[in-house]
Amino acid sequence: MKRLLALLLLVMLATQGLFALGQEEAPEAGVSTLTWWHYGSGLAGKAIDSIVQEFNETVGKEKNIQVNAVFQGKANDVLTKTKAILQSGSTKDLPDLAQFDGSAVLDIRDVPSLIPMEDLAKQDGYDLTQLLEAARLSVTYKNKMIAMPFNSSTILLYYNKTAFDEAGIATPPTTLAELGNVAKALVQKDEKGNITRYGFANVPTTYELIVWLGQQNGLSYITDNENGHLGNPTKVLFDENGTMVNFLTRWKDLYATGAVENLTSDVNGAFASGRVAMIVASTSKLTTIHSMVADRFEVGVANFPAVDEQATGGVNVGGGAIYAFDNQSGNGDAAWEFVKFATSPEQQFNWHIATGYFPVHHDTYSMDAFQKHIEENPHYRVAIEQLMESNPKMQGIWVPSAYQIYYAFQSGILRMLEDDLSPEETSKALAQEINGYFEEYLRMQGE
Amino acid sequence: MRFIKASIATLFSLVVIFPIIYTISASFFTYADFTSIPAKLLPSSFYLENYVRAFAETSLARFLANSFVTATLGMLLRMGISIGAAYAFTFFTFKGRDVLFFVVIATMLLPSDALILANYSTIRTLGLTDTYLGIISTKLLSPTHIFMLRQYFKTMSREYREAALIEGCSDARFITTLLLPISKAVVITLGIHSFSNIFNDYLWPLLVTNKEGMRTVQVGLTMLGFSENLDYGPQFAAIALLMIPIVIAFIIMHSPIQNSVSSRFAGR
Repeated sequence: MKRLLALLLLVMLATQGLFALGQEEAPEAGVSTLTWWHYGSGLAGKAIDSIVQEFNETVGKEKNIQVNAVFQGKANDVLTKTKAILQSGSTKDLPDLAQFDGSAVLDIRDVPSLIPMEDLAKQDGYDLTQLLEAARLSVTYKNKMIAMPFNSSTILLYYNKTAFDEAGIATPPTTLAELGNVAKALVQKDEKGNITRYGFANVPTTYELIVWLGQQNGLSYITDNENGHLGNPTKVLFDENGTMVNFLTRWKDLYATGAVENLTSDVNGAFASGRVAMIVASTSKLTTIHSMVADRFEVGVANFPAVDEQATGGVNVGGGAIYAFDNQSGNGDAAWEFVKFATSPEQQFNWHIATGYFPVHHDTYSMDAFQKHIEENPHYRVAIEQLMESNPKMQGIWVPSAYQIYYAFQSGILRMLEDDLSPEETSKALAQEINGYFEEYLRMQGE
Repeated sequence: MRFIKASIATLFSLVVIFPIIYTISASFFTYADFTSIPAKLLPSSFYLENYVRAFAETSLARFLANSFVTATLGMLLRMGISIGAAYAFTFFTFKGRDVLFFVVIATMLLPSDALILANYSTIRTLGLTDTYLGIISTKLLSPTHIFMLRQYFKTMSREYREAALIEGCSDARFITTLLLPISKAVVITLGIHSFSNIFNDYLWPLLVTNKEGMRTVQVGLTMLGFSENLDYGPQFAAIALLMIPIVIAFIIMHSPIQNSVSSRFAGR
């Protein structure tokens, strides 16, 4: 017992010492200190720290603003934490700025403490058309830009160039039908007939379907209210406008080539190891995939393959944005100064080099340094040109039960392939399931 | 026969020990090692960069210290409360005892995820965010522990305590000199469980801390950015470091647990 007490005492003492270490210095008088919650880890975390440091040493010093960037876990953790504060009603504890991804929009957009970024920009006379339209629309709700796009990315086709050369394939596929032909030519088997290399690996989820459904006929909406950007979605449109059936028909043909692996996890790893010759992934994975592949083979990138020749919409902008909150500290203008700095042409260029997220500011693209950079790194050029050719109105979906919908797509498509169901019945079943989630949500919202 | 037994035991222990060995091995993997085909079991070289990066890119030492303090403190307090409560529920007779016990047990039905927002609110109102107390206070009451200890204590004859009290022994002394030594196996097992439970917690410590200096190691691990960047090396290095103390604790504790379990079986 004595020993236990002694141990407890020791721990308490140690705690005291550590408490002291945990304390911060008091902020200087007259300086507005901003807190920015972000989810940038690894490379992105370092890049965020360097943006903040540069701001604090230059503009921040001049205008008496100091930014404190706090890593708050994964994107979903930042949201959980913010929601906890909102529910406890203690808006004073909100950060001045927070980085969220698209899945947070539904929970954040109507919060009274949210300061729409467009309001802050207008007070400063900032011209919003300096930003890429597609990026701006990706955070526009009811015709108002509620946040500042920051870490923006699109989807891209990655291919094993060495395997392409060996199989005598000169150009990467541009449609799903071509993808099937190319994939078939890339399959390798061992003596026993087991496949050692698949041509392509994917099971479409929300991420891919936003593009494969949305790009059809120039632009197709997946749900009403323009994919939820004008209000809560009440029903899906992919069954009525036929885009789902069209996509599923082509997907079934693609799968019938036997060259597609139904891989749902670690797709990038399978690609890097050479087990799969083509994948689709975010442009923000460029740096990572390159270092994973190392010198095993040459990596090529190309436009995300379109569903068919009529699917001309291109790709949408995904990723995350910075949101501003009113935490009664009156830091709104200071927060805007920082947001403006972080999305300035120069900072967006550095951010792009460090992480692979594409610059959201138009002027970055005309910088000499940027031109030189895409000259030297043609892969980045592909990603950026693909975006420039896309319809900016093609946008991600803001839906409730996003998690369930993600798996509904995945398992629905898997079931179609494995049980040989028709595209029509699969589309109908998916629409029914997802509409059910919408109804449930609207009922809870009392609409 | 002996040989067969030994081989079966070896086989099972290999299954258990494999993840540990693989983690240590993978902590020396280079980027290319992780993605090679066929998958590698051993690193291609003695590559220490992952460890260097794990420490250089985060305040890993500080996170480790925070985790050890909160897990140790939380474990001791939780065990103290659980032992005290289980003792009262077993040996004392007072009005409403069974109702009270039932209420404590009923809290097992509440999933901790459902309470997280309410708990956050409370901790914030108390001004305990960014403190060790904030991190551990919601972990202190464990109905499972109380229930298990009570079941264990009930197997003991009440006459022991009556005899001890007649001899002038206090409750505290009875607990420390008789009850705990007899219940060593269950107490140590629950203690280790408490420790690793608090040590492994992710969401709660993330929620109640904002200062980097107060972050625990589980939060620190995500800072290494493994999932976004598929950069597993530093992650594995950090995990390997984390395992060492826990593995040592198990090695030290395993013989008292084993002895008391086997002696109880032998006694029956």
